Amino acid sequence: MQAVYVDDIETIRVGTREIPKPGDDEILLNVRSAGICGSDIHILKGEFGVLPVIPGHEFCGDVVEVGKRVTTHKPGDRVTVNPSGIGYGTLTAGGFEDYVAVLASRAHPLGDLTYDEGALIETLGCIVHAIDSARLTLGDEVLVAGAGPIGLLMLQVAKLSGALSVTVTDVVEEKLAKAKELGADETIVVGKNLKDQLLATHPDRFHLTIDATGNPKAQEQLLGFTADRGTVLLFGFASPGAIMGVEPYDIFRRELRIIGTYALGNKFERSLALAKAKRVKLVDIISHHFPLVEFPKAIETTRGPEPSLKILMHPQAS
Amino acid sequence: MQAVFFDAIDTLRVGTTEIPKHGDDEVLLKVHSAGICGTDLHILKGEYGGYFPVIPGHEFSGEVIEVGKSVTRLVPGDRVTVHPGAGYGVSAPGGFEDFARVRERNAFKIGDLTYDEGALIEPLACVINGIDTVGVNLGDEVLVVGAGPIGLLLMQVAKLAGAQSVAVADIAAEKLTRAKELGADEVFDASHNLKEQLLDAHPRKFHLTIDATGNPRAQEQMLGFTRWGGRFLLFGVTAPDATMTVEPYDIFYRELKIVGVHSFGDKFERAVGFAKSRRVNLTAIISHHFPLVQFPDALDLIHSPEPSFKILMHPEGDA
Repeated sequence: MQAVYVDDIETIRVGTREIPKPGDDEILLNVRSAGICGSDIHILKGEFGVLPVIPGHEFCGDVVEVGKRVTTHKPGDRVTVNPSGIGYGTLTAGGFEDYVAVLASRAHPLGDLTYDEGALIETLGCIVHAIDSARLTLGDEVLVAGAGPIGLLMLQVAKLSGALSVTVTDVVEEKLAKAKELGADETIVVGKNLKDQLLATHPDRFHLTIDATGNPKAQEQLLGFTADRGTVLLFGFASPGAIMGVEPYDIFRRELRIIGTYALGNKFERSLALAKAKRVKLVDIISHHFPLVEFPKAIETTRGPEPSLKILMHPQAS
Repeated sequence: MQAVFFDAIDTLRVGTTEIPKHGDDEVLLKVHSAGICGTDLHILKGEYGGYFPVIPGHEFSGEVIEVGKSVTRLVPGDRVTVHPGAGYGVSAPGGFEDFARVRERNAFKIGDLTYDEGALIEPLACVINGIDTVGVNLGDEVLVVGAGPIGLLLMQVAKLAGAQSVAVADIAAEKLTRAKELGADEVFDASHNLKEQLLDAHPRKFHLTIDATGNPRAQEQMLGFTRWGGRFLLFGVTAPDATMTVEPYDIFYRELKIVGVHSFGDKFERAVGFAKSRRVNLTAIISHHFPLVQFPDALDLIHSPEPSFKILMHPEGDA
């Protein structure tokens, strides 16, 4: 079967390996859909996880075989995988391969969600965890910087959590058009006078500002867009070692909170329920599909000039 | 009567003024004790408030001398501390004067607390608000950097709020001795190798780190002492425009929280009750007393190398 390997920093290979045997508590999945996450790019840069690794921590598929002690699953079940705590795709083999063995306790039934939606539950879990940690309050005016797949989910989850309005900024107009379709109350193209534009419509600034860019220069601007006693949520994945400057007096005087969240905590099942209830539009954040063997091309797409949202990989057979 | 005036940036004067006339819903206080706060220094530098001229002093207590027509709760002779929420000492006359007019609803009876303890309710309330806002969980290992009066209160309140242990760091040995007396579980000399010392003793770092120095160079080290999922409370006042650098990746990956608190929120009454219960040692954070006319000397002391904790001012006759 085929699998994607990150052998070393910036070294990708699509190779072959034996189909893994599931352990007694494991199931073997035929992967049907697996998402590329910003973290995968950081894995590739050697900034995250342990190399070599078969990446892919957002995936779902069909159960094809179950271990001896597994009573909860049977071949044919459609499931999505919670990688949290185990490290599928970061510390151990993940979803960018035709077949993967995972603990049965980590595989949750998809219901009538599509495989593509199922691959995005992990991402949604990270967003729910972040909005929860930020303690969004009914009536908050929220700013989301960055309209990639994360920004578009932040927008939706913030609105569902009771935000009065969500403003989305990005440098790419196509992404903002998508944000508008998904319910953004206001979209602003990032330019020289971003601050003036934001303050014109929100003179008291935003109760919650969210970074979904991972760009330290964008991140350090957010404090200036945050209302007194407001919260800055750092969600975008900055490079390790990159720094931003903040003014302690401003944090003190205006009683700001800066918080970081990076994974999904214990929010996987809640997110799956949210998706099954169709309260979040997951399909809309997908822009590209590639067969697994075209993984290098998919990575180029994330780095190329053409705007992309979520990119999903699909093993050959499915 | 005598009063301290901040006339303009870096311009301070002890002068005389009329005894204020209180309004119908106000009381006239004979001020007995008033604390100098780090914020007062920032007001004088023009970094906070900015309502010149002003009679500073937002931490004070005294005795009710006269009451306005519509005052119902207080009578002359009542001993009270003042909730400075009306801007007393920042935008309205404060406690560095012989007599002060304050609204009845801003005056809280202090029971059998001393006037000096009464003057320290406001900083205690700020500290309670800080600890409440950032949250201490039962069993937390806490680090307080800076063992001035605020650091000593933060240490005590963190312990009362359920901290497993509180470590205190400072560059002044005398301050660490005081911290130890007040219950610090560990003290660290911050003048050399602080990071190595802290990580040796707490290899997994601290659940909660608190800056009570206001020094950006000290502040930016704090995330390095904070464990995964932990919180960093910025309590010390820095100069506006001073910056510290932080690593966004570290905040994101280790799910850190940085929280700023500058005032007492709605915690004033709680602080009065708490002080009356004698669960916090307020007197031990006081190092000096001056008569009001020596206000400039008190400021000189703060700027001198001699270590000081809380300095209280007393109108003539009460020192």
